[in-house]
Parts: sequence; structure tokens; C-alpha cells
Amino acid sequence: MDIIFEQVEHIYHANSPFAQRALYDVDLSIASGTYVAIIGHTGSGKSTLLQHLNGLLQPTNGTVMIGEHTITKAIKPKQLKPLRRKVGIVFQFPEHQLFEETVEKDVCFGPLNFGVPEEEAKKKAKEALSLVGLPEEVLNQSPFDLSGGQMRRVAIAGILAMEPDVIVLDEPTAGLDPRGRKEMMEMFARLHREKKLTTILVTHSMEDAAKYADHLIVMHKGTVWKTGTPQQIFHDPDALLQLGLDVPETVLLKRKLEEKIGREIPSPCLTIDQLVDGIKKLFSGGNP
Amino acid sequence: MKELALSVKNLSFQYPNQPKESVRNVTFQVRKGEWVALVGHNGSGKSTVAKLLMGLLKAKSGVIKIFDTILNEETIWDIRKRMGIVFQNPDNQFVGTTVQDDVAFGLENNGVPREQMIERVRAAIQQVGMEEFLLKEPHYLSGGQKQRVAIAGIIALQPDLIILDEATSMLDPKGRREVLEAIYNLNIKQNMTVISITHDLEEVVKADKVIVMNEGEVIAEGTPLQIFSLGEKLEEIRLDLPFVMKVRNELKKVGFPLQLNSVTLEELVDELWTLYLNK
Repeated sequence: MDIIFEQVEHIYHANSPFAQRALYDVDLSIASGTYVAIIGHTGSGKSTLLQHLNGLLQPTNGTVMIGEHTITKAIKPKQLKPLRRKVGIVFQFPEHQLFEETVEKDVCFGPLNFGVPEEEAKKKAKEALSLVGLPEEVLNQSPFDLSGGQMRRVAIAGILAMEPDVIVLDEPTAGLDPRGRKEMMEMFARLHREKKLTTILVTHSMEDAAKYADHLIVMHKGTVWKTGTPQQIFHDPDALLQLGLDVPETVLLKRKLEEKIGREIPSPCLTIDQLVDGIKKLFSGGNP
Repeated sequence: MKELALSVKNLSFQYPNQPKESVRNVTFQVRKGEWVALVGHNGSGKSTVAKLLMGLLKAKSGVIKIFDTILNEETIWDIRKRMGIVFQNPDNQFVGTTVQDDVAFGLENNGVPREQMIERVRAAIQQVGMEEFLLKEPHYLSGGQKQRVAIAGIIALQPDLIILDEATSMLDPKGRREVLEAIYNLNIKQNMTVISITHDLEEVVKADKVIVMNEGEVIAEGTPLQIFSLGEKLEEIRLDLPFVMKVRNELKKVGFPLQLNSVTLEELVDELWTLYLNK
């Protein structure tokens, strides 16, 4: 399922005194099976953009193509139902959306809604739970008796049970403790690898964007500012800092050290290993 | 020694229908004007402690003393006038129909005269960088913007003690820095005591004191440097080391003779520079 945006615009409350342009001139393409991170300042249009990915919002102009589905302003919302099965969105704090009496019922809710027979839905629920690393014992428990991190996993299992081709993650680690964050990100990396799931991560963590994504999309003031590999995007940290965005801490340290010493570190320094390697090279080189 | 802002002694709390106590025998002190970071894994009892301090939950046993007053049903209303809390989710904290009204809400409740109120609302909103949004309605704001308004609502009350319960975790990095900057200013200029519950290690690094909770108990207390020197022990309780400490450790592993004596980026850069010059 390739995703292509062509000249997408979205205006909230169009043709009213409250009209607010949230997106304009958005052109982008996300190839099937890739891992893409969308970064941008609060209010840059990331959330509006991601709601176009399964037709929760329709463009007020332009075209969104997701696999064989084409979404324009003329499409009737009813026609978008099959698309929603293919694109699962994990919103921020998805555990707030849990509502059923048992974990099993909650995870089955999506598949049943899309007309999957009950027995099959239960089977899918079991599989989804194992994908998110929860034991089968939780199936009959109330989701509200679980810890925060487990509840989030149940909510994510509910999305995975629909067997989407694309998964969209909006700040999936917000509020988790450091270990929980790492486990969650590793889980999505594994799902991406094993299930060939097209993964779209919306994040403020430049470390996660650099570490997990193949490709970055930088949003600024409602449009795409730049796209590229993490290496390309973080090659010019000053430009990002000027937009009010962060850069990975490794890049920041590299830049400060280069300024202080007056020599370039010959490494992209996107991870701590690369950084340590770069510093080693810097020290083993001759004096300036 | 500075006066105490807060003292907690042998505090325990158990939620109904839970097999064990969520907070067990917790004791700690916070001095006036201190910035204390309360850290621990999800479910370690940090937020429960915050709710006990605000009198939102009633302790099973133990004593909480805030500015020399023992917290109980009679004193809670006076104590609450001197403290504010900002929770994680801004959507649950909006009461006004506009940004301005929301920030004014607490002042109205406390009977602050209108002239003074207008000035304090304006100043508080400015401190969190939301002056452009004075008349906006809450649902037009992003999560981060809402949270800054919630914080402004507390700042306007000029409390002596502020509790941040993961208050910046939903903000973007820039928003987070702006908000923390505003609170740092109040901390320094007005000697406002800050208790910050956080997973943000970079914020922890800047605290005066760190209290570590695990499974409902306080397991360590000290300066950020002392706490982060615990190393792998922190990972065992689901926490992590701040970035600079990790880099230091890795550099030392490959033979850089670094002294483990700082947690800031600038100090590490300076130390590497000195090594570079002397190589």
C-alpha cells in the first residue's frame, strides 16, 4: 500500500469565519513496507496529516492515494470504511479508548465491527496479544486492572487484530517510563520487520526518529519542509534548530565538540556508537 | 540550612481492592526553594504521593507537614492556597471558555481584586508564551498549548509550592523547555518550591535533589550525580541513565580517561577538549 499525497490542503471550518488552514501544498510519498517518521513542531500539521491517512479527515483540496483508494473532498465518508481496516491509527494515550469488560472483548471489537466472525475474531485477538508481548492469561481480565503500559499494549493489540497493512503511531511512548519506552519502540520495530508493516511514527523524539525510521518527513507550518534519510535531515542541525525542532543529542554533542575543537568529526553520529567512533577518529587524527 | 517546605513521614496508602500498599512507609523532606525530581517506573507510587500531598487522597498512616502545618481535613483548604498541581493531561484541567478566563479561574476563586487579576493573568500567560491565544477557546489549542495554559493558571496563583505530575510529558521539546524555563524563573526569583514527577532525565539532571521510588517505596535520595552514579541499578528498576552519562560510560570503555564527575553536555565537551589538547 503505497501512500501518495498530491497537493493536499486541509482547512478546518472552511467557508466560515473560523476557517483555519492546517495543511497546504502537501506532496509526499511513502512506499509500502517502509518505516517513516513525521517530525515537526506542535501545530505544524502533523496531527491533521495523520488523520488523512485513514480518511478521518478528507482533504479540502488535492488528493490522497492509499493503495487503490483515492480520497478527495468529493468522496463520501461511507466509501472509506474498507480503507480504515487497512490503516490502523494508534492515537496518543490509546489506553484511554479501552472500554470493554475483558481484554478479549476489547481486542475483538475492531474485527467484529468489520464483519469478522466471532471465532475468527477471538483467534486474531489471541495472535495480536502475543504480538504485543502480553500473556494469554490477560484475555479474560478487565483491561482496567492492568498497568498503564499493559493497557497501552491491549489498545495496540486492538489495532493489530484488524491486520492493517499500515500502522500509524502518534507519540506511542508518551508517559511511559524509560524502559517502557524502549520496549514499546522495539516492539514496533519488530512488527515492522516481521509483518512488513508500513510504519508511520509521529514523534518529538529525534533519537527515536533517527534510530528507527528509514525516512523522515519534516513538517513546518502546515506543509512539508523537507524529506530525507535521518542522515540527510540531521546533517544540517542548525536548520532544524531554527525551526524550533530538536536534533538527536548525539548530533548536538558532535556539533558542540566540533565548534570547541575546530575540526569536523567524520561520522554522522546518529547513535551513541557512531558518536564514540567519531570521537575516536577525531582523537587518532593528527593535530590541526 | 533552609527551612522546610514539606516533610513527609512514614506515609502509606492503599487503594481499595488492591492487594498491597501503593505507597509504603515513604519519608522525605523538601526545603524551601528546592527543585526536587521524583522519579520511578510507571506504577511506582509517585503520582499517588502527589495526590496525598494535595489532600486528594487520604493516607492510611503517616504525617504530611507543609510549611509547618500538618495536613488534615481542617488545614487542607489553607494549605491548598499555597500550592498548585499540574497534571499530565491538559484536557482534564480546562475550566474556562477562553485561555484568559481559564487562567483567571483560580484567582476569581481566591477573591483577587480585578485590577490585580488582569495583570497577573497577563503576566502568567506571557511566561508560558501563550499571549497570542488570550481569547482562543480551549478546543482550538493543541495538547501542548493547553498544558501551558494549565501551568499559567497555577503560576497566576503565585503558589509557594508547585507539583508537576508529568506536566510536560505531552509537550514538544520546545514547549517543554519554555514551560520549564518559566518554572525555573519562579523557582529562582520567587523561591517557589518545585516537586516534579518526571521521566525526563534531562530535567532530572537539573534538579537540586532526586528522590527515587520503586514499588511504592523510596529507595534512593541524593543529588542527580549521586543518583545517576547508581548506574545499572537504575536500569533494573526500569529507569535509564541520561545521555551524557551513557556517552561517558561508552567513551571510558574504549579507553578515554574521563573522570565521572558531571552530567552536563558542556562539561563533557570541555573535558574532551582538554584531553584533545593534551593528547
